[in-house]
Amino acid sequence: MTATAIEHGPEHGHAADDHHHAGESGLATYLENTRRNRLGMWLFFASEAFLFLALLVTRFYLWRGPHGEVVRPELDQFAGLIVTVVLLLSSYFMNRAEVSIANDNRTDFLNSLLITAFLGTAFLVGVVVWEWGMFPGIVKGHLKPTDGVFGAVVFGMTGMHALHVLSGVILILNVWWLGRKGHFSGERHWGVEACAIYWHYVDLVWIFFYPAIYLIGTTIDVPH
Amino acid sequence: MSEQSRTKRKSAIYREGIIVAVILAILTLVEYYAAITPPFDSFAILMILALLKGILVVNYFMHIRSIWSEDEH
Repeated sequence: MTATAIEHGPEHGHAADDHHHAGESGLATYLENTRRNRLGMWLFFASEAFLFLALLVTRFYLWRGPHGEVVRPELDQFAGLIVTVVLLLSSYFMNRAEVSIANDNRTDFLNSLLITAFLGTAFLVGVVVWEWGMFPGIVKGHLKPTDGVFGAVVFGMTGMHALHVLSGVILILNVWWLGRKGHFSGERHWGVEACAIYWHYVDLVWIFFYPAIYLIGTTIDVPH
Repeated sequence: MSEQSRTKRKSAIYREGIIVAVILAILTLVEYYAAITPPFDSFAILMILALLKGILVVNYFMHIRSIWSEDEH
């Protein structure tokens, strides 16, 4: 019997049990909906995969040397490695945020979300400032979007990915805001899970883009 | 589930995240050095390393198994 039932006798006890059962069935419905939502999210990822795969195929089809060998433009290797590590680290903190809310650790959940948003922003700054050279006063970029197939593909791939990172950061800050207002709990946190798997998906895309852009192929000079 | 086993499970989940992050960091460094060290700079080796990283992320961070599992939420 619940504490309410002990306090208020049998009539109130039945009411409390009914409320308890209603809560249980509500949770069961929530879990069922979450399963469906999860499947929907993965179908969305599958549709997005076509877009990113098309960009990868474009890279390997167009970046060829005079004898058909795979080539790549000279890019800032150190900047590529640093932004990759930053994004991987952000994935860890996103995972930590999800685990924390599942364990009702709200402080760690909110802090981990903020760190993830910060690292995501750092990744964006790294790409925009170092790789794109958007602020030539700080760093002069290696390529321009008009530098033939190399410029077009680098800006197409990193641009499409950066757009997803930006939307991910906005989503994380939205979840953080809702989390502050007590919107999520250990039992009900589909919003956090959806945001987390979206963020990991963005990381997953970069896992394949990083070697494709920075590491695979012989370096060649791109005529400006 | 007792309080002690719940605490153990919690710390195991946190530890799993750290282990996966460390393996991902190591694989990224291996990838970087492979790319500047012939003959390990081949397309196949670099893509296999990327695939390994991808499998870790999909499995441990994105919980792909939860699509089929009944008990996770």
